[in-house]
Amino acid sequence: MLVCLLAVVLLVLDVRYQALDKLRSALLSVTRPVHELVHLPGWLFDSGRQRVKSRDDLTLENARLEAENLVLRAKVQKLNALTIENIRLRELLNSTRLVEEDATVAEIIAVSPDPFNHFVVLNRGSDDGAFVGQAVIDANGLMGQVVDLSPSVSRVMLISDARHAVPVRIDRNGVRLVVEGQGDFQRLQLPFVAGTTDIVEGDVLSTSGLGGVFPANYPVARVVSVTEKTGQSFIEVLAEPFAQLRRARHVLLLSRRVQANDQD
Amino acid sequence: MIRTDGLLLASLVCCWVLSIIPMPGGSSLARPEWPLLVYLYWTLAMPERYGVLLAAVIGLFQDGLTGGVTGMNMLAYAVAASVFAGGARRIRMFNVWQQAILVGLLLLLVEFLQYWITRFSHPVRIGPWLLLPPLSAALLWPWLMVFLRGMRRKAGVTNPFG
Repeated sequence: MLVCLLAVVLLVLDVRYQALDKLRSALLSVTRPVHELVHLPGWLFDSGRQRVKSRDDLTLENARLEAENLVLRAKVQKLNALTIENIRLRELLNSTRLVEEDATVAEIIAVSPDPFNHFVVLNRGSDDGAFVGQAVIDANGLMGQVVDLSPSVSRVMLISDARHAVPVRIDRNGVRLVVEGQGDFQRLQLPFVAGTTDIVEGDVLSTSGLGGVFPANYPVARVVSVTEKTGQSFIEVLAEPFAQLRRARHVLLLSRRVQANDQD
Repeated sequence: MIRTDGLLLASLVCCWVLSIIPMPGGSSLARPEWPLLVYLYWTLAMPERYGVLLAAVIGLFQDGLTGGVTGMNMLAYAVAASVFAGGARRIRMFNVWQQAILVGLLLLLVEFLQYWITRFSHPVRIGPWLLLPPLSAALLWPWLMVFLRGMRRKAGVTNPFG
């Protein structure tokens, strides 16, 4: 009885007041060995496979990676020029400081087994410089943000979780919207889109940087359906996330760094 | 008695692994509450030793593991345990399939508790798949029961009631 009462107190504290950060982080630390144990076979398999790869495979992979590297480097050349140009233009406009992000690579060591909660656990924690609210991306787009933190692991809420919302902007015309998760890995929804909004299927939604949690200009989702329902004040818009929410293994944790050659 | 707790801990660790290990496709929807199942076995085997408090601690650990609302599994497990603990000596006399049905119903209660509590914090969708974990738990119970009893007897952990 007393135990049930204690549990109810915890529930209320967590849901109503979000006052249990310490306890949640402690629980995350305590459960780390279990996460590690689950991760172990996959890790062993991967490292084993690395060791026994054939020479032909390695040569092939090397060739592929070199080609990919060449293409990426070519793109980066252009990017450098563009960044410099961008800084110059911003200076001309007396614009606000340009923020650039540093990225730390992290590995997903566990996924949430519960369909009500879309979480993943990463092998980086506060000791590695992670912080609550930190944005997480994979190679294709935005994945989510850090919600629970312990010294060596962190828990990330995915953008598909029903509690999660991201401020975004349509790349094509700059219209600002919000993308909400709805507990489905493949579909995100956009609430409160007025019927007159210029939004069509195939529009790319990127983070707008409003709200201060997510850095601007990371791709989030592509609009897959726009349905107008008669008698409703808002249109129903669904989008598909770019990030491989169910398949990604390695992700990047972004942290802000203000450009060094900034004036103000 | 150290042996008993060691065996309990070992079975719990296996369960925690089973309860977060990634499973293919939709089969994770049918994942039973492994830690609660194992706890139910142990409270049935030794009701005077393992009570509601242990269930609550296991539940709290499960909360940490899955990252849900803190206290959700703690409450759900404690409620299930108090229902079960009251009749443990009687339930032990049931045959194994009757026990399985009872376990299934109990886990259905747990499933609903989890759903309701999650509803407090954020909207979630409900579907007939909510019935899958209790069903799989009921089907697994006989095998789990036989397996754990075998382990317990092999380890020489017995209690005066058998």
